[in-house]
Amino acid sequence: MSSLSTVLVAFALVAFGTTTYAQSSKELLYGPFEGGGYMTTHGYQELKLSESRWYVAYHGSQDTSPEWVSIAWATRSAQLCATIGAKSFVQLRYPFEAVAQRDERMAEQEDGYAGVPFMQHVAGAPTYIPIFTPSGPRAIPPVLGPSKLAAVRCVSDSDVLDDPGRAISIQSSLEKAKQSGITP
Amino acid sequence: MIGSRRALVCAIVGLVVAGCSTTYKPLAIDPKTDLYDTTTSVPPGGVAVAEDKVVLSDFGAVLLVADSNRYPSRLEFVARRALAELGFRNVVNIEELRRWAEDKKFKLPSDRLTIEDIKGFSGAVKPLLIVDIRYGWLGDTQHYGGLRIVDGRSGVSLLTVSHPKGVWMNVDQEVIYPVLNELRKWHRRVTTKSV
Repeated sequence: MSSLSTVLVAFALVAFGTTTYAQSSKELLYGPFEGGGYMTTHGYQELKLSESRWYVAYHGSQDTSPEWVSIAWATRSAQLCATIGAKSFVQLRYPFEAVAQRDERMAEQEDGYAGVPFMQHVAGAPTYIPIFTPSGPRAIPPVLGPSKLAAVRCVSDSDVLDDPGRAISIQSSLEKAKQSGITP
Repeated sequence: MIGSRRALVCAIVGLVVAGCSTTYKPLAIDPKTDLYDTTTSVPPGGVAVAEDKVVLSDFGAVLLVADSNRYPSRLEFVARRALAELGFRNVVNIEELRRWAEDKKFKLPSDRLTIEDIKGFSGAVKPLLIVDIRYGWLGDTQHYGGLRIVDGRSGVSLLTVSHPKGVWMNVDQEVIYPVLNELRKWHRRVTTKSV
């Protein structure tokens, strides 16, 4: 009994200690999000949407300021765009927003897909009932952390932007990151 | 003896606290099953409605609604990744939908969106497939995962998954990813039928 409880105590301490260490050691570190434990960690995630577009997320913890998260998000966006030789990037208002002349031509081609039933009339259509999360044994206060999720369009020299003022320089993003203590 | 019992209780509490937390960790797809490699799955009764006579290429975008009482934006990214892994390229959340509507000069109400608004948008701009995913910690060991897929053109529910579960070890593997596996199963049925 004694040895079993000792083993369990040791295991629990290691498990709890690992998450706590992860939190404390990653607090000021910039890196990929690999899942948060009870004591949450933070970091970036991304999805490649096309050759020049990514969906980038930076998840902060309860101790991270929204400003820091925003800078970290821009840093990751700049890093990704730098990998394809871009000099700047645009934060998109939605993932497939057309911001350059080339994007508009592609959107027009996509819109031209013929025969799409945009409107279907369904007789006696059922009413949409939103699902909800049921309540449990006790009221649980929500846990929120600052996060920034947005798509980016990397801008190369050949791109002609509709609004050049929206372009964010990769170099300036990385310099701002350094000033904020972020080491990419 | 009392000391060792106390230590045992502490150890169990420690394990539960450390183990049953939600991490939203990316999970690999098992190539054999083409599903996320989870330890459990949603019982058959948890999949309430399933309509698979749908042509997914008819939809112009997915409207993703993700809600949770534990870091909802992390759940949103998990769902975005799951949709991307199924080939959905154009995924928007509510804020992004509003900006898209603004660009298309389509007026959406500034407060709450209803299914009638989505039906209107689907008819005027592009058809939307609504993917509504929920995860909540209900207290103690109780958790809830839910998913609803709705045809934005008609309001018809295509898939509803309800997965309340007591969890001792891993919420990702026992609640969130089993629900996303139902999305993958539904996608497989739909694409097989449409082929």
